Amino acid sequence: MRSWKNWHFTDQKTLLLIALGVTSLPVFFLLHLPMQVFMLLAAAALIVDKKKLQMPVLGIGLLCVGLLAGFIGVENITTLKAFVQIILSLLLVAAAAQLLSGKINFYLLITPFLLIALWLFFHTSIVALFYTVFELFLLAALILLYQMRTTPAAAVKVTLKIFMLSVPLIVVLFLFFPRISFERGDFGFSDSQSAVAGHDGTMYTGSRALNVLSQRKVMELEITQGSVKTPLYLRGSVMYEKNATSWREEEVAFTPKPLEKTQDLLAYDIILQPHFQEYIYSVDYPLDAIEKAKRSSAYTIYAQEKVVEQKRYSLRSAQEFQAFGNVPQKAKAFDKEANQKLQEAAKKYLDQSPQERFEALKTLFGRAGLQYTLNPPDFDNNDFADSFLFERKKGYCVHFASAFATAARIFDLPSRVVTGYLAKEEAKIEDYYVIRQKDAHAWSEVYLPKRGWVRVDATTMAASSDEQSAQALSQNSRSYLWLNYIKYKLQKWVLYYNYLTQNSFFEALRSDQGFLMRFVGSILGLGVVGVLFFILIKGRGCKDKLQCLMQKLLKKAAKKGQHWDKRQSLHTFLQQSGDKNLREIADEYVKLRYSKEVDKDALRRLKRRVNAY
Amino acid sequence: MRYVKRFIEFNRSLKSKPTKYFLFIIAVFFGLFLQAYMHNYNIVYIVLFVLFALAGTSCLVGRLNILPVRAEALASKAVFAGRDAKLYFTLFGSSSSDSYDLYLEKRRIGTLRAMEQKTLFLTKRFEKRGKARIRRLWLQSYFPFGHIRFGKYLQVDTEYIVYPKPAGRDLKKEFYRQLARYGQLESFDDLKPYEQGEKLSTVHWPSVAKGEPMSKRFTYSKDDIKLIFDFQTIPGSVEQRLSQICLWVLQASSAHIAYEVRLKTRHYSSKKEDTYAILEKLALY
Repeated sequence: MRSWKNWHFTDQKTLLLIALGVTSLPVFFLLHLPMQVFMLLAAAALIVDKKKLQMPVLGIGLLCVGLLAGFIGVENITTLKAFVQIILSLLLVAAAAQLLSGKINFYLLITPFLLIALWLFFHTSIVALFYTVFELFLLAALILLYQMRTTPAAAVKVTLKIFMLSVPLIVVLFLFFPRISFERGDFGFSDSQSAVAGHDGTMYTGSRALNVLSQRKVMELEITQGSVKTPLYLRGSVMYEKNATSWREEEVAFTPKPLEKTQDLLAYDIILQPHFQEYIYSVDYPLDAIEKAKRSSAYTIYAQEKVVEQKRYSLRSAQEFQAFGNVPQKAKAFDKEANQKLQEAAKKYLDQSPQERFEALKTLFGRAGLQYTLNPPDFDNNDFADSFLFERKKGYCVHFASAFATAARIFDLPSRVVTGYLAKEEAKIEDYYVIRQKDAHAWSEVYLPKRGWVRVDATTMAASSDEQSAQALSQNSRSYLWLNYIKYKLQKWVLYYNYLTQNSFFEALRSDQGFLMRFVGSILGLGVVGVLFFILIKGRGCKDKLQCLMQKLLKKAAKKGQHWDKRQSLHTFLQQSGDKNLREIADEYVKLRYSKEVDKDALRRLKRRVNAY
Repeated sequence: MRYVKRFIEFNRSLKSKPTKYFLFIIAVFFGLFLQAYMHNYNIVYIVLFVLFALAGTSCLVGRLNILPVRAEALASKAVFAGRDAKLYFTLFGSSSSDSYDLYLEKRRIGTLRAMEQKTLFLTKRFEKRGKARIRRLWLQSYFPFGHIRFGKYLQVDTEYIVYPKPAGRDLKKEFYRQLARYGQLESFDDLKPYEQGEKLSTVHWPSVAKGEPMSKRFTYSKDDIKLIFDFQTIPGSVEQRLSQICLWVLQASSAHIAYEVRLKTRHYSSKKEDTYAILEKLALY
């Protein structure tokens, strides 16, 4: 069987079928069932390739387009999405019918490009980006294959050369072409995205306590300004109301007081996956809200609409701050009939200052010998704090946070429970974090009159952690993190490159000379690589070593003023050159050229002579 | 620097012309631009920029494709006015890279490999006799993407002698009596033993088959025939006369009959001069 490298695909119809196949693949996945069936039927008809199938295929195609319109629905038929789907369908039907007719016209030749332009309305992910580049490369290679009438390998080499030469221009155009829009529009329809389960405003402490060990990515965070001083707590919802088995979020107020003595400011970007709640996660404590969202009195951010698709936003937070005020009465409420042991323990501290009570509480938890485990025993829900602190002594973040907040109230300190996520240092590459569902976390906050609301992560007071839990919570490999990091950067600088990003890029070029030099150097470097690639990659390899060796000799001779007139044989030229070395080489050349088998030693000797010439 | 200068000079001589696919590309640019601009659609932007960059880069690649190709004229067969003539040329490619999708005088040549030379012919018709010159040939290529046609002139600067168009009355009919008087090679008078050095046309092959080589004897041989083609006595215009003589010269040559062409005061005998030399005289008359 011949190697595929030696196959000559010069038939225009074959090349066109390949182009249409590749460009219609993404279309197959976005059209509805009738058109998918038609595409399969058309493919089968094209394989059979009988002209008499043209009219039946056309008829079935038009019928499927009608059915597609039915799938879309009358009320949606005038939307852009439906319009593009119907245009795509009609294009496919026309292309199939024309191909079966056997005549290749101009409109058929441009169909692959039209398909790309149309399906780009629908697919906007990184996968779509890579596939688009692949399609463009393939179409260029197919055009060249037809023009060159050569092997696929030669056509691919030439395509690669042209692409490498084009890369610097593409990069410069992409970065500098003026953008006017801030957001990326999706024309009202977008890639389907899977929802990530999120908090629903209730935290259970009993048998229904949420314990999510899923690796599914919840969000990605990149620090754009500032340095991280403390672990990153990403704030979601704040709960004050407690009953026997749960904490609940009720009646959110939106009158936050300004934070005081803010320090260690952080600016960051977040890509939040859809979770079908209104929570916009932010690093403790956010200084402001985002567009179409409000900041609550408890410094959580709520969007006006539920997050049903991937959301990108930028925020600023203060890592050191004082948050005074906003202490509702419910922050002090506790069941006086429950948790008698804790009430007993608190009695001797109730006369002391809030700070002293706070320290005593922390000491109590620190010395309790608590163990962090993802498989806690059952608790007595009526006396949950006592059960956790004095009896079971095991649990995970939900239990620690709940018990501490309850205990704080018993110690006459206003408290609340906060749920969100903890961005761990191990899940970080450069300034980029990947936060997954198993990073969900709960912690407490206690109000101290002189310090305001203070975060207390009671989990850190655990004396030990069981091995199984440690393993379950371990982070992904570095390679996974790097892949996500690269993907994130691609999204940020390619898919989501907009007016603002461009402005920040221009600003960096203007203000940072080092960055400017690196950028110019990179572009020039790309250009040099492209040119080198273009020069060094030959259309054909050196198949005839003797011929290539003589070519090298001729170049050397030309430099010495000896130019070969191609109307005479090479042997004659060398013999008549007047150069003794060339005459000797001529004799050896003739022996090698006309011998039945190439003597490798003789070839090596000739090569040495040519190199020495 | 030398190469840059050469490239600049070459670029000036190069001609490029957009094809219908260029218009399609412009339409695609416009469509993609509209799709991308208002909503900052970056993948569409990338498609737009890739197509733009490829279209731009291919201009350089297309030029470099035909840059090294050159042509030389080879000796061609006789060229007669009013008749299609095959003119032979050799195309030389680059020593290091292939040249693709070549058309010489709008005739597809295809690929010219590195270090390859291709010999080909072009069919051309010259209407007038005399000297004709072909100074240059048009080479074009649609490589790489077919949206621009690149072309240049290959300097060949070759002169051809165009002989008069052979036309008129047939030699045998015109000179029937003379040819009949001298006989044909088929009607011989006698046989004689074959002598070394005699023409093969006189060998009597049946005798040879019998083992006794004999040759034919003619009372009058073709060597004695000498037809006179006198310009003054032939009716018609100058061109008609020349065409007539040309026809007779060709027919006499192919039948190995001696002749003499008389043009005014100059006489040209086939025994002394080559046929094509005589034809040249006719061409340049």
